[in-house]
Amino acid sequence: MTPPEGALAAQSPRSIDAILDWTPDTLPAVATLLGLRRYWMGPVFQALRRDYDAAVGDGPGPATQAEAEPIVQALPSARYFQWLHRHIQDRTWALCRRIARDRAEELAAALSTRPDDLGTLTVDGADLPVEIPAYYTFDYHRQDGGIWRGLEGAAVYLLGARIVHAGRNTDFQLHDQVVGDIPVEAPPRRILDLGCGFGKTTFSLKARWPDAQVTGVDLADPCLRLGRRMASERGLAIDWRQGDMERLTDADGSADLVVITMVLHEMPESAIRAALRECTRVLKPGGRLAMLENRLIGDPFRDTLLKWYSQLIDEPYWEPYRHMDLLGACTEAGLVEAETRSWYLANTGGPEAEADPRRWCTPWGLTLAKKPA
Amino acid sequence: MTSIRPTETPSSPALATGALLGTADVDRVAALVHALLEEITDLKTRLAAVEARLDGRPAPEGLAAVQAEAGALIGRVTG
Ligand SMILES: C[S@@+](CC[C@H](N)C(=O)[O-])C[C@H]1O[C@@H](n2cnc3c(N)ncnc32)[C@H](O)[C@@H]1O
Repeated sequence: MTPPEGALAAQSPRSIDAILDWTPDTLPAVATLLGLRRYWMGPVFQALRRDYDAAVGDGPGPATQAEAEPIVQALPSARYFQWLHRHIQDRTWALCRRIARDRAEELAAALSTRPDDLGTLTVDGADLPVEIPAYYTFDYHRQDGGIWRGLEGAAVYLLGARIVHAGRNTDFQLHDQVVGDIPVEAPPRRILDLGCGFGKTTFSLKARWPDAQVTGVDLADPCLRLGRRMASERGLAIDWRQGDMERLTDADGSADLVVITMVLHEMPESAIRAALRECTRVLKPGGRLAMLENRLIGDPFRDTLLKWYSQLIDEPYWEPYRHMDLLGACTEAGLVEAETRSWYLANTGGPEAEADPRRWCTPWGLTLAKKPA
Repeated sequence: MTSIRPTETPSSPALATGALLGTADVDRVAALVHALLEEITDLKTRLAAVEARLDGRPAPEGLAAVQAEAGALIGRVTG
């Protein structure tokens, strides 16, 4: 069904979306992984919950995550709940790596500098020396080699991101929705997306505010290259810059809006605090900071499972992050009006799913703060 | 080559896959895998049927149709 790749690539390069799309020969494997993931979140999760209810009996049950953890860990179904997730995660990367290797040549060709490139791309070099913080060299998500060492890793990340969200973020609808929910008094003129990856949120920011100058900052230059091409293919002129959000090169008071989505949980607390201080510095007086992350549910059973989840996908800083006082850290960094709003991805059950202990839920929080006017 | 700045790094190792399952769990795992295989087989059969119907149709419309049907199938099979 797919045209012969070599012949086509020589004439007009295919888009990144087309190069990294599923094909009839990879689709059954993808569908199986998606099916397994939903099976794990559904029946397997519910079996574990039934075991938990039986173990706790009719009493009030553990009031805290610390009390619940040993009970959940001792349940007969606990270990295969964990094992199955580990298995799905490792199979996902294996599949994505196979696809990325198959398309490597075409992908590299598509990313060469082209006349229709929009925006700018600035990466590590004499004008912009970039230092990678050591915590970042850990292979998050069990993805061998990470997303910053080469193009293959960035492509694996892009492919895997579609499966990790159980097929619910294939068109980046999560990012459109969260960007749409950022409150602003006036359209921001200069926007920074910190830890932008290959630009899921950055695209949505430029789409919502087409007249703004939007800059995506990330440590992973292969992701920035992917992002720039994908943005160009979407007609979005965005500036992409390699850099560490703990040490921004932006001038004081130069941004109206700073956005950080799904990044802080991958950083140690000291780095988060340094990044928040940088946000305060680069924001204009009255400027807004918006951050999307997971939060605690407040249900000891499911909070224990989220801790496991972070351990199963090798996220060493996620659990400490969920228990950190982020609002206090915002205040300490000089920000005001810090608040976290529960945030629900459309079509995933919303507050009802969160309130029902028998349903899996991903508890998002949108944290907002401002620099004093 | 980008340089590395020293910072704190993770101190506790992540869960080792080998530690996740003990021998006592083997029966339960077998039952689980059996149930999963049945679902996968069902899914694969349906996918094969969808793909067969696409024969002769040009990509990418054909692929989009497979994807749409596969999405609907996954929803039905796994609830
Ligand atoms: C899970 S991804 C999220 C990407 C994107 N914001 C999104 O919502 O899809 C985390 C990103 O943060 C980046 N990152 C982690 N630590 C960083 C730091 N100190 N400075 C800049 N980027 C960082 C990683 O390279 C990665 O692209």
